[in-house]
Amino acid sequence: MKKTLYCVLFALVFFSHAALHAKEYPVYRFSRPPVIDGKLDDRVWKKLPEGRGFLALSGKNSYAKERMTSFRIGWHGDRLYLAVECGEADLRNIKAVESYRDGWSMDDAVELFFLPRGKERFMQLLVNARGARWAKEQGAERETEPPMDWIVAAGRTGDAWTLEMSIPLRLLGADTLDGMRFNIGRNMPSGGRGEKHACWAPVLRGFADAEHFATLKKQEFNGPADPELESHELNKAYDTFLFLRLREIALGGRAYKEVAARFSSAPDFGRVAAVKKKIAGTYQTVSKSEYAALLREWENAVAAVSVPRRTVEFSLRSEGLKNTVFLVNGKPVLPENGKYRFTLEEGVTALCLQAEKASGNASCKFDFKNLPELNPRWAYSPEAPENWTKVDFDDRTWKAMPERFRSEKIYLRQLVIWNQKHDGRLRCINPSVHSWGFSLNSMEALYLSLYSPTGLKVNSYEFQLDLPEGFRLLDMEAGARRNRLSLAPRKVRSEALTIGGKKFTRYTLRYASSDIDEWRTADSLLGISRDNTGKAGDRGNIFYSRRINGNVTEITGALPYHLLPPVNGGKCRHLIFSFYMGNMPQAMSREMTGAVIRSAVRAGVDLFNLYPNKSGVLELVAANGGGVMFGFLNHPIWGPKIKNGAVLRLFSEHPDLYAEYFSGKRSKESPPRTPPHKWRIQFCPSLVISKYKTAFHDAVKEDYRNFFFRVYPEAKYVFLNWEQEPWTGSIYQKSTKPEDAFCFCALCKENFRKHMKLPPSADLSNPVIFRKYYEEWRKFRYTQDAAVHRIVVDAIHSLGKEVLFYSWSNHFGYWEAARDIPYRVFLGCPGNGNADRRQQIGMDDYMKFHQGKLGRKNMVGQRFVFFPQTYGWNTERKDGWLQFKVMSHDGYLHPETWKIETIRILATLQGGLDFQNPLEMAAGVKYYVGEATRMIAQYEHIFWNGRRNDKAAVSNEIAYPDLLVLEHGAERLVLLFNESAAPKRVTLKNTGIRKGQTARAYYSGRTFDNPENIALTIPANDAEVIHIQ
Amino acid sequence: MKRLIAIGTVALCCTFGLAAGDSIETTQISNDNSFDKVLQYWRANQGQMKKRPGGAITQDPGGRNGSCMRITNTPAGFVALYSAALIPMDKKTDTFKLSLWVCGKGAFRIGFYSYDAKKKYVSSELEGATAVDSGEWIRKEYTVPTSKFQGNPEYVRIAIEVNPGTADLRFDDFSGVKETRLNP
Repeated sequence: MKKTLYCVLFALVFFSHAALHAKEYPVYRFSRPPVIDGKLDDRVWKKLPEGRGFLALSGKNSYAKERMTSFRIGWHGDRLYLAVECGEADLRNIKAVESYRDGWSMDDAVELFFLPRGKERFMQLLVNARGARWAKEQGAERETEPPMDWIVAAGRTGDAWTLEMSIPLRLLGADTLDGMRFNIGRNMPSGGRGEKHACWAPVLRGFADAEHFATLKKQEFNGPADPELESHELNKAYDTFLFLRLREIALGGRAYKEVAARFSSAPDFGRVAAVKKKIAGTYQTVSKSEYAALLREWENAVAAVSVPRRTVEFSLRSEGLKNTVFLVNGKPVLPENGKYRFTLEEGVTALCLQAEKASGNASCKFDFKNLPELNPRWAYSPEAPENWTKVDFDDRTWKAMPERFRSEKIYLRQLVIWNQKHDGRLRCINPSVHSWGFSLNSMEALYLSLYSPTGLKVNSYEFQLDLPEGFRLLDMEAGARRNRLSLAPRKVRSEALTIGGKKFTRYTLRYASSDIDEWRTADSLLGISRDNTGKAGDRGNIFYSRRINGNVTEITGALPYHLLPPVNGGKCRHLIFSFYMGNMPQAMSREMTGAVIRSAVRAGVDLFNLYPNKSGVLELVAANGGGVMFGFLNHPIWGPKIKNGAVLRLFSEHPDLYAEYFSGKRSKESPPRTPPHKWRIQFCPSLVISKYKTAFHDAVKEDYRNFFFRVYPEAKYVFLNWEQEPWTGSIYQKSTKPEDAFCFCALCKENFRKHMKLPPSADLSNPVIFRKYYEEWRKFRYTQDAAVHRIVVDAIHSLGKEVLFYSWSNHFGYWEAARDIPYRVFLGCPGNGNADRRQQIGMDDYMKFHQGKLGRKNMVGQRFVFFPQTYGWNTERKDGWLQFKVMSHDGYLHPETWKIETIRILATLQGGLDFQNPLEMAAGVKYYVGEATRMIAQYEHIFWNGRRNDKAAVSNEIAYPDLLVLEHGAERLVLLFNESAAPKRVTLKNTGIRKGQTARAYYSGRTFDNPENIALTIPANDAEVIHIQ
Repeated sequence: MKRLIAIGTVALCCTFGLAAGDSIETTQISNDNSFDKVLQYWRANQGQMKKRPGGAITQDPGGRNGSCMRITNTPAGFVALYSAALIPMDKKTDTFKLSLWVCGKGAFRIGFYSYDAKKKYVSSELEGATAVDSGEWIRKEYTVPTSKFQGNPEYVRIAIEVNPGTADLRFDDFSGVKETRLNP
C-alpha cells in the first residue's frame, strides 16, 4: 500500500512538473567569474542551483538511469557560464574526437540549444568530452565558426567527465539571457538501449524540440542563500525518483534482489551488501543533492561485482611435495576433495603454486577441467621474491616446469588471459563487431592487435587461429620486414585438427618478441578467404588464442561469424566510389593485397588513389579492373613536391616566386636530404596568378605529364587536398600562431590594399593585418588560393584528366571563392558520423550551401568505417587496441547499416563516395555496400542527373528523412529507409504520376501497375527503392 | 513562483556594481517570502509551541497583495517558526539583511537559529523585540552581522518568535539577503 502511494506521489509530481509546465532555471550573476579550466572546483559554482535529472530520449518519458548528468549556469557581464558534470563509471568508455573537422559525429558530448527571446531560430552548440566545439544556427546553410572567445575546457574526475565554458551572448544572437529558452542534452555512445541521449527539458521530439525548451530566468543576485533548497525546488520530480530508487534498495526490493540473485556468490559481493546497508541507514536523512552520489556508489559496487567471471577447476597429482599452497592473484585457494575451484575475472589472472620438497622424487601434474591448454603452461623457480604472485611480476627468467623438482622450495606460476567474449577488454581482434560477416567467395581482413597483455616485455609471442573448413589464411608473408601497421609474423605453420567433430585448420603465427611492445600496439592484418561452400545465413565460430613466454595463455576465444551472399556490387560510369588511401600503407603480401582489391572492386568501389610510381598495388588494381587516381603530396598547391620537377625549376629561375611568410622569412630551396613531404616551400599567389600565370600552368602540366601519368597514362583522376587555411590551422578554430601563413610580400599587400580600398597610409604591417584585418585577409586569400587552383586544374584538364578536390564541408569561404573551378568537389561529408536519419538532415543542410547557393552538382562524399588506423594515430599509444575507433553510434561495426548509408550519401551528394581505405570495408561492409552500388549503378542516370523532390511521395508511416525522392524527367526513385530493428509496413501515395507509368521495387522485385498507391514492407535495418517510370 | 519574488529586489539591485570582481557577494533568501503557503516553506517550531500553547500561525487573506501570515498569541502562549532554507554562513564574512512588512498589535523577535557543520542546533540569535501597534502595513529592516553569533555555526535558519503576551500580527513580503565580504 505504501509502495503504491509512493508511486502515485511520484507520478503526480513528475507529470505536474515535467510534462505540464516549462522548466525554469534561475541564472544568477557571478560576483567573480570562474576560471575555465575544466575543473568545477571554483566556489562560485557551488553557490548556484544544480539542474539534474536528464530525461532519456527513449519516448518513455523516463529519466536516464545508466549515467547521471548535472549542470549549473551563471552569468557575468555579457557572458553565460556553464558547468556540466557527466557521470561515467568507466572513463575508458569515453568516445570523443579531437575536433569536428568533418562535421558532427556521435561521441560523448553535450548539446546546448539557446533560443533568445524574440528570435525564431535557436543556436545549437556542441562540445564533446575533449572540448571539441561545433556551432550552428537552426536552419542556417553553414555552421558558425566557433569564435575564440567561446572558451571551453574539458576535465575528468574519478567517475565523471566535465565541461566548463564561457559563452559570449553575442554567439547566441542574444542581447539578454532573460527569458531565453534552452535545452541541454547529452549524447552517450556507450549507453544501452534508450540510454544514448538524454536532456533536461521535457522535449517530445528530440533535443531541438523548441516548443518544450526550458527557460532561463535572469537573476541579479549572486545565488540563492540556500542552493540546496533551490536545487531541490528545481528538481523535485527527479529527487523523488532517486529517493524511490534508494528506498527500493534500502528495503531490499527488486533492484536489490536482482543483483543478489545474480552476483551473491561473487567475491566482492560484500561491498554491494555494505553499500545497501549504508543506503538503508542514510537515504532518509542525506541531503537531496547527495542522492545521486549515493546511487552512483551503489551502481559502482554493482558494476564491480558484475565483471565477467568464470569458474575454473583443476586437480593436482603430486608426489614428494609438502606444504602446498595454491594462490590466485595472491589469495590462497584451498582444495576440496582434491580439487581446486576458483573464479577467474575477465582480464589477466596470476595462478601460483608454492610447495616444499618432502622426498627425493618430487613432481606434480595438473589436470584443468575443460582447459587442457593450461596443464603444461607453468614456469618454475626455486626461489621467489615477495611480489611473485602478482600479475605484473616479471618472470621471464623462470624456467619451464621440470618433470622432477630438484630444489627444496618450488614456485610455479602461470598467467591466464580470459575475455568472456571476443570483444572483451583485452581483446586482440579488431574492429569490434558482434558477428563478422563473410561473403561467399570473398575475403576479409581482420586486424590482429599485438601488444603485451601484462604490460611487460615478452620472450615469445604466438597467435593460434583455428579456421573452420571453407576458410583459409592468405599468405602472411612470413619473415617480411614491415611497418607496425601490419607486422608480418616470423613464422607461420598450419595443421589440420578437429573441434567438436568439425574440421578446422590451425594456423600458428609466431611474431618477433621485439615487435611486442609493453604498451604500444601494433597490428598484423589477417587475410582470411572464404570459398563458396555453405550458404548465406550459416553461422559458426573462428577460434583463437595467444601464447606468450611459455606461461601466459589465453583461454581460447571465439569470434562468431555468419555467411553472407557473394559481394555483388555495380560499376558506375560517372559516379565515383573511391579510396583516397587506396595505396594501403599497411602493406601486405601480394596474395592478400590482390584479394583486398578484388573484393573491393566487386563491391563497386573501384577507384584507388595511388602514388604515381610503379608499385605492386598499381599493378594489382589494374589487373583487377580498378581505376586509378594519382595524388602526390598535393603537388603543387601545398608547394612544389617533385624534385627536379618543372614547378621547382620555375622557382629556381624566378626566386621572386618564393612566398614571404608572416614571420618575414622566405623559403627558397628544398633542403637537401629532407623528404618532400616535409618541404615548406610556398609561392607568392599574386605572382602566380599574374606575371607567371602561363609559365606556372605549363610547369604544372609538365610535372603531371612526366611524373604523374608517365607510369600509368590510363589513370583518369588527380586527387588534391586543400585542408588549408590562410592563417594556418583549421577551419574550426581561429589561428593564434600565424607564423606559417603566407604571402606577405609587398605585391600581395598592395593587392590586399586595393581589394580593401584602403588608403596608402593604412598600416599593413603583418601583425596589424593579423589583428585588424583577420577576416578580410582570409577572404582575400581565399580568392587568391582559388585563382591558383584554377590554373592547376586547367593544366591537369589539358592532359585530359579530372581533379577530385577535397576540403572540409564547411570551408565555406574557400568554396565560395572557388565556385567556378571545374573540379569534382570532394567533401568530408558526412565524414565521421553515421549517414543515418539524423545525419541526413545535416547533409541536406550542407547541400543548401553547396548545391543551393553555389550551384555545385555531383559532389563526392566521405565516410570512414573506422578511423584512422591507416595512420597509426591511435594504436601507437597505451591501450592502443582499445582506441580502434569504429565510426558508429556504439563503437561496434554494424555492416548492415552500410547499404542505407551508401544510398543516403549518393542521393544527397549525387557524385560519389570515398571509403578511405579498402581495408576498412570489414566484417561484411563490402557486401552491403555492393547491395547499394548495384542498385545505384542501375539507376545511375537518376542519381547523377536527378533532383530531390521528397514531397513527391507521402505516407502516414514514413516521412523525410526516411523517405527521399529523386526525380529525373518522368522517372523517379523513391528511397525508403528503415533504421529500426523491426520490419516496417508502409503505404505510399506517389503524387504527379503520369498515365501508364509503372513501378518496381528494386530489392524485393515486386512490380506495381498503379504506382500512385503502393503498400510494401521494408525489412528491418534495410532500404527499399521504388523505381517509377 | 510568487514565492520567489523578493520585494525590494529592485532597490537592492541598484547597489550592485558590474565590475569584473565584486567585493560583496549577495545571495538571495527565497522561501515563500510572500507567505502564500503558510507553513509549507516556513515551519512552526512545534516542540516549543506545545510547551507553551495558546498561540497560532494561520494564513490570512488580508495581505498587502493577496494572502499573508497571521500570528496570534495569548499571555501564556509562545509562537515560533523558522524557514526551511538552511543557509550556509561564515562568521568571518557574512552579514544578513532582512526586511518584512507587518501590521497589527504585539511584539515579535526576528533572527536565526544556528547549526554546526553536522547540522546540529547551536544557539538562537534573535534581535531585540520589535513592538508593533499599527493598522497600516509598516516595513521593518534588520542588519545582522554573524560575527556576534555564539560558537562556530556553519548554517542558519531564519526564525520569528512571539514571546508570551497578547498579539495579533500579520506578516507579509519578507525579503532577505546574505552579504558575503570577498577577499580582494
